[in-house]
Amino acid sequence: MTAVQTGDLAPASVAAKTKPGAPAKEAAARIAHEGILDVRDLKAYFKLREGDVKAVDGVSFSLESGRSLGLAGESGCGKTTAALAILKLLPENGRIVSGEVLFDGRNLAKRTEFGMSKIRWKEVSIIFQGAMNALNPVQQVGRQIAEPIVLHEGVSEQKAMARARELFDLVGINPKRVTEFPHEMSGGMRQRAMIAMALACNPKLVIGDEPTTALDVMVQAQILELIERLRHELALSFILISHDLSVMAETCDKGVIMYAGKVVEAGTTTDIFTAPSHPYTRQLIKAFPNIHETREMVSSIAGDPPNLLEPPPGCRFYPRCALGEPACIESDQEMVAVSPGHYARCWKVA
Amino acid sequence: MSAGQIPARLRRWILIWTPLIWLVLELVLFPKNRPLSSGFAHVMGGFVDPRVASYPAWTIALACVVLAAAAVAELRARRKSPRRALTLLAMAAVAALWALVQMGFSQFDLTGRSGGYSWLFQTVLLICAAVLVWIWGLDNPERADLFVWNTREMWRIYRASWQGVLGLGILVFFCGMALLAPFLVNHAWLSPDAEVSATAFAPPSLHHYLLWFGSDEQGLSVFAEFVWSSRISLFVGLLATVITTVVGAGAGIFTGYYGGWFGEIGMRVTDVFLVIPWLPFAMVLAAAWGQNYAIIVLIIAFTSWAGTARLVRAQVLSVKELAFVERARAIGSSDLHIMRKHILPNVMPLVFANAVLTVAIAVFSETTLSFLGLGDPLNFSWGTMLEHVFDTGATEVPTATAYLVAPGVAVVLVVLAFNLVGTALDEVIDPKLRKREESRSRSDEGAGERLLPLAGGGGGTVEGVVEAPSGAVWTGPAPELAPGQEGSGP
Repeated sequence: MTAVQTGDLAPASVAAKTKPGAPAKEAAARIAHEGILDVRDLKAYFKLREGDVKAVDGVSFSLESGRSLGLAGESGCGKTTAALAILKLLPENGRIVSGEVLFDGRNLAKRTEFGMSKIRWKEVSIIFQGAMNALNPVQQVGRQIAEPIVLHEGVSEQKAMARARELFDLVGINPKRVTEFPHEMSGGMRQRAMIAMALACNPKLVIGDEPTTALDVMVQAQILELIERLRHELALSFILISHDLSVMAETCDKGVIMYAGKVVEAGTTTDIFTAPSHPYTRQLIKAFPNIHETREMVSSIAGDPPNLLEPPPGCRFYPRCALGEPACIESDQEMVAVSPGHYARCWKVA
Repeated sequence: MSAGQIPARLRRWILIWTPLIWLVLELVLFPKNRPLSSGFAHVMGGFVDPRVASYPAWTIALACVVLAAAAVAELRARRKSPRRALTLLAMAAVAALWALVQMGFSQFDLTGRSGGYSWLFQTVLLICAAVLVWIWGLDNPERADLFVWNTREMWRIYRASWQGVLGLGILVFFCGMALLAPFLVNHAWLSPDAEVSATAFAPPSLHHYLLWFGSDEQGLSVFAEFVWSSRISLFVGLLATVITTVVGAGAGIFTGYYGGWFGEIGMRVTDVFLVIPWLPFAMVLAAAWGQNYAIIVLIIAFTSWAGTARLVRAQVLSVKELAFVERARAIGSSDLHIMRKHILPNVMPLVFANAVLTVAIAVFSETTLSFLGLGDPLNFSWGTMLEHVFDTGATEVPTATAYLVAPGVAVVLVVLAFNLVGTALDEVIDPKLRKREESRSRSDEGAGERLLPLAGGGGGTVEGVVEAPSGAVWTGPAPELAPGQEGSGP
């Protein structure tokens, strides 16, 4: 097992874990300097009668200003919970147990609801999963986009509507359609409207929670292209949450693969796709058809993700892992450097 | 549509509805310089000393405060032109003057009749309101265009149901009778010394309209009583419904939205109101609070809001779980804003459909209470007439059949009509209930997008409805298409 050296792309927890004595202040200063968002050892649990569901259990990643990061993994691995925890939008039974969400040097995890309402939308916004449901069917789309503008910038409704028109233009919808209702728009257009809504208050960071999941491949490509264009035009930082690795590969500079509430692999998307190191990532990539190579059966990963009420000891992927050895359950796995800036939570890769 | 131009449909609406509403208001307030009065003035007068009751001063003062508050809000919004705020201020000033006059601060009296100036204030206020709507239409032409229902389109769908047309016909007949009562029969014919026949229970006769339904035990005209009764019966029903719906929907939305211990307590209170047998409860309340129509209205509202609350709450519980509510919360909208802009519009069709049915129940309740002798002894309603029939033994008198039948049939018809209209309105509101031809003829307007099966919409009853500019009506979170309606394409 190689001791991890902190690299540029190193998740912050690595630094924290390997250098337990390092003064926190120094680390914070360094992070504030380099990244817009730094999530460190974030734990978000859901309280059930049976106990706590450890949906996000010590997740760390960081994002530099103007870059994009993909958060991928199968359903139920905690991607969306992690995103909601960043914005403190967890449902009533969910809570952040520990960890830090440093956004521009400010710890969002410690903020009050009132403090968060100043940050949400003005600085961090989210494109919700499923644009069909995230729009009120009986309110004009433009007015729904104007809603955050009126709320956060205190401008008149007319001005907000004018801004909504500009935003429609920006995302490639005819500005005249601001007065239409959601059902008068196609699925792709609704998704564009949701993107416009996320951009309403000029945020620095946008989180896209499965922004293309419900769309067909053509529209999906258009939306991804749009996000890519806007990201460059507006110098946005972007977090893309997707279960679709190809979407992540296309859009993101960095990738984080999650499994059962933990990050199993992190690195640049190129690293992850050319040299997948964690057995889970390898299997995940195999589970997608590859158009460049000879046809082979797409393989699924045998078994089910573990119950997060009582996660298995040691490596959480062990029960499904082809390379598993008894040593895997003996201790919690640490992130191991595969190459500079590329880490995997598996002792066998080293 | 460019700004500064009022949409034609809204303009037409203002031009048609303003005189119509004016007419209705004037008819309700039609001066009755007669010993007994009824209608709005007297009903509202139940709350205050009858000597100051025409419109009671406190209602006008309340309206004045509301208008002034609206004007202040307008001023604080700092719009480009202050004309909206100025109109509201003018309305508040008129209302203030009216309230002062009503309270007796002035001898101002145009016609020499007591209360004869109310029509003037009423007219001025109505014109101001019309101007306000006009200005709003000028400022927001696009919204105005959507705000105004496409009456023609709605009527086209509505008239496809013969039950609805029949119900509407009955209602128009009885409402017309109620509004035009002062012109049909002089109110003086209701006074105890205005006998139309020498004997009690004179048989119906076609010789004179006052004798159409014969005479009652005192020799008074049953027809006169019947016509004037419609005012009280319908008015009490409508007013009670307004209060029931506002209170019930408000309670339903608040308890449904907040949930938790607040919602639990709210719902237990509602349960208490639901399980108390309403008739004994209403009788006790009537005995305790006194007998006039304002109190009857309150009693009906008090005993029937719980049903509406429960219904609305159930719908709110499913609507508030939809993603757009979460989105609104994430944006930072306040709870009140979410309830007003996101929840209310989505439960409105349900509230509306329920209100129409509540009118029927309220009319029926009023009749029941009056029949039991708990009505206003100074006024006639159909229930009071039935009570008189019963008390005087007219059921045994063959010549008094019309005395018994007329109010009874009228109540049955009105209740039936409201139910028919309610069912037909359901069809207008909910496309799933419409006939097959309907959806086929409209398939060219993007049929695939009109009915979207969205997640979460529980109940399967009327839900979010939108009146689109093209006139396409769409239910919000609609569950699956009704069988036989899949693929509404040609």
